[in-house]
Amino acid sequence: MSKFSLVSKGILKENPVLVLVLGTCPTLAMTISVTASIGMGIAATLVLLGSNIFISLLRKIIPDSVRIPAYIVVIAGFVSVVQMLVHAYFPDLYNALGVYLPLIVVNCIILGRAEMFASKNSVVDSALDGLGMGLGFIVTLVVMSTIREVFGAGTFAGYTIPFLSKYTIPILVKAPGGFFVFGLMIALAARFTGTKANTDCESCPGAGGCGMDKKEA
Amino acid sequence: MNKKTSLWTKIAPVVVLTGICVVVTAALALTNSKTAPIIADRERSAQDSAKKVVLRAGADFEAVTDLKGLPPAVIEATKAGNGAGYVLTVKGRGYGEFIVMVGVGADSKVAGVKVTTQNETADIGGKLVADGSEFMQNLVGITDPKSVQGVSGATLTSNGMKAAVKAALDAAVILSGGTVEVPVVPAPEGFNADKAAAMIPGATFTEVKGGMKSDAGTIVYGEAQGMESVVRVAVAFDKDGTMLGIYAYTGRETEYVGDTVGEDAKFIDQFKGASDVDKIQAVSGATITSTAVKDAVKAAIANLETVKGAA
Repeated sequence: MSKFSLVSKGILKENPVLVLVLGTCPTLAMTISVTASIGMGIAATLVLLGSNIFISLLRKIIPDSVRIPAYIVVIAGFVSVVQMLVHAYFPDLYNALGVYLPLIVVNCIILGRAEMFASKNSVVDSALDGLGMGLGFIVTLVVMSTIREVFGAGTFAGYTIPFLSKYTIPILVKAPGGFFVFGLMIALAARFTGTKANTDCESCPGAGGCGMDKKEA
Repeated sequence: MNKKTSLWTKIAPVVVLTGICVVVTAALALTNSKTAPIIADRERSAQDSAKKVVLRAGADFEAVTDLKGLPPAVIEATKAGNGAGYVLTVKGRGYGEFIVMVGVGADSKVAGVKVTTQNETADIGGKLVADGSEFMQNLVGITDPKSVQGVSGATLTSNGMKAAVKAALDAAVILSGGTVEVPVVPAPEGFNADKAAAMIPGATFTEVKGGMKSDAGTIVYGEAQGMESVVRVAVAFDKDGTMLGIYAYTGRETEYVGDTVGEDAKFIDQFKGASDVDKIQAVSGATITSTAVKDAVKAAIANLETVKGAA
């Protein structure tokens, strides 16, 4: 796979949110606001980049039996560092992200890429994969939050839009609306990539240690 | 590939995991040492500017460390060094629990109110306590919350806010050296002369406002909002003001949960001779009712002198 395609696959063909269906919690939560989405996207990308590089560096040393705890310690460590930095230097972003910043630890995208890619590929490739996945995450968040904020609240990044703010569709900024938009975007992504979204057992990052023995509930 | 001895394969998981933990911990410690002071500074200036929101004329805020004698709902008190008044942080109970900052000016009038955390029903109580709402604006400039009308449909929240503001006003009076009129707290349900005699044996009591007096000691009533009802207690003090024990009625609290707290001997016995009510352990599973009993006892302690001198 060429270096460029390593990055670009994360944007559409293997988009982490719309195709791999990972990281749905922060997606649904943050996409009510464009600025919060950008902030979350950047924070998650930084963690993803750091954890992919670190785990790829250690992939030959970490024994298979303790790989999940090892990944989680690394990821939690990175998230805690990012959390402290954001709290100190970007307090408004810290308040906007709220509880979803520490929740990046359990963001499936990060653990998923560590398990599916960084543990089996070189450091450079893993870094590029992290970058691509992060970009895909940011792009998805921004597109989705634009739809939800513009039509749901009549604003974009906090700036009121003159005509639309009078005819908002408030359900879009609540949970049900979020799911509608999410579902539509998954369908659109499937159309453009010609593939189906990964909703089967094999592609879940937890497949390796799944208690359901890879059978659906 | 390195030649792996069987010893290495056995200890590798432990060594590697420990190594990773050590490195990550070091990175966390380093980042924390760099960022913690910045964060602390930011919090402090946020707190200060938050205090100024409710007391615009205030400056040189210093915390009041001794909250003894203040209404139990007041959890923090700050004095404006320039004499502009006080800022009280009060924990109140509307539909849910909320925390409100009240600025009381040197003229004993409410200078400003701001709710910092709340859990009220979104469109009902929540709207009431939002900055700039009509209710909140009505609270500014008053000396007695009774003059403010509650909002129909949001009774619990209105009453909770008014009680919180009253506590703040009282606290400001106490802090500036005045005394506050004690509301007449009725005796707890089921409390009678026999129970009083049991708490202070051999005493003959005269009933006064808010308690019972005798030469051997004093009984003071206190009350606090519990989970579902007002919890009332009778606290017995000996001549020197040491707490001898309490009688608490919690029968109207949540069935099977809080309603037996008053009869839980292990809990009630902790109050015998207790000097620090905060250290008393609550009944597990009935925290709110236990806390209400403790708050009621604190209110009784605050009223001890008043009852001793009452007729």
